Amino acid sequence: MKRLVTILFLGLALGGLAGTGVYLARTTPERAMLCCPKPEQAWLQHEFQLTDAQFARVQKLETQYQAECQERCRRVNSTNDLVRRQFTSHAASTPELERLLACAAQLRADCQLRMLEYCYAVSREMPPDQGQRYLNWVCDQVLTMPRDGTMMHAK
Amino acid sequence: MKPAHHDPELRQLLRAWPGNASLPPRFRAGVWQRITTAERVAAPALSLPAWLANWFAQPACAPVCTAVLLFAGLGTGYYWAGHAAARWEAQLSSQYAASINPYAATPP
Repeated sequence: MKRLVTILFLGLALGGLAGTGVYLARTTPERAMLCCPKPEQAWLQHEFQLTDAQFARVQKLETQYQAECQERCRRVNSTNDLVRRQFTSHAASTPELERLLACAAQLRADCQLRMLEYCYAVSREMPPDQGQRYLNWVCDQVLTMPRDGTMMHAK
Repeated sequence: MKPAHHDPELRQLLRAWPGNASLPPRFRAGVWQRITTAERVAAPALSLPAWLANWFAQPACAPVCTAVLLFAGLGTGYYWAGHAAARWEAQLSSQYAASINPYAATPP
């Protein structure tokens, strides 16, 4: 019985150590990404195989894009507030509400266009095959529209 | 009753035996095979703990067990690492998408 317990204990200890080693080795890139200050940017570099120089240029683009994006978001929020106020303070649509809605739609389109331009700029910093893969990924993840191009209410 | 080998008549008779008869081929192996078969038939069925204890008492058991547990550990580690890596990558890709898309939380 003592022999049985010893064999099992040593076998389990060895198996546990081996399993932990494999787990740590196989998850090394992901754990390293999670420890970065900007893990999502580290993911981009890892996923699309960017060199350090390419990644530095992408980060510069990202910093510039985020600053502009914040400004656009501020304008979108203030326009949305005006639309809400205009809508709730009248019993019917007014020319001012119409103008604000057009302005909000224009801001939204501008926002999306800037985002896509940023994505194109990022893809140009990548190797051609990775750049195309990035654009395909962006299309699925970021361009939030129905895949078959039809709107829900048209069905 | 006296044991047979203390019987003087029997001893005399055994001494008179020429004793030069040859055994048939594979006589010894045949005897051992019959003994093994008889023991196997006569042995009672072992309970699981007894069978395990019997099995673990064999010298080959230690390396076999260790190898099995080692490969089980390696397989488990590999499987869970794949799961964890896929989960983290999905989480990070969503984070990236949300970081560049201001409408991520409110799709049009």
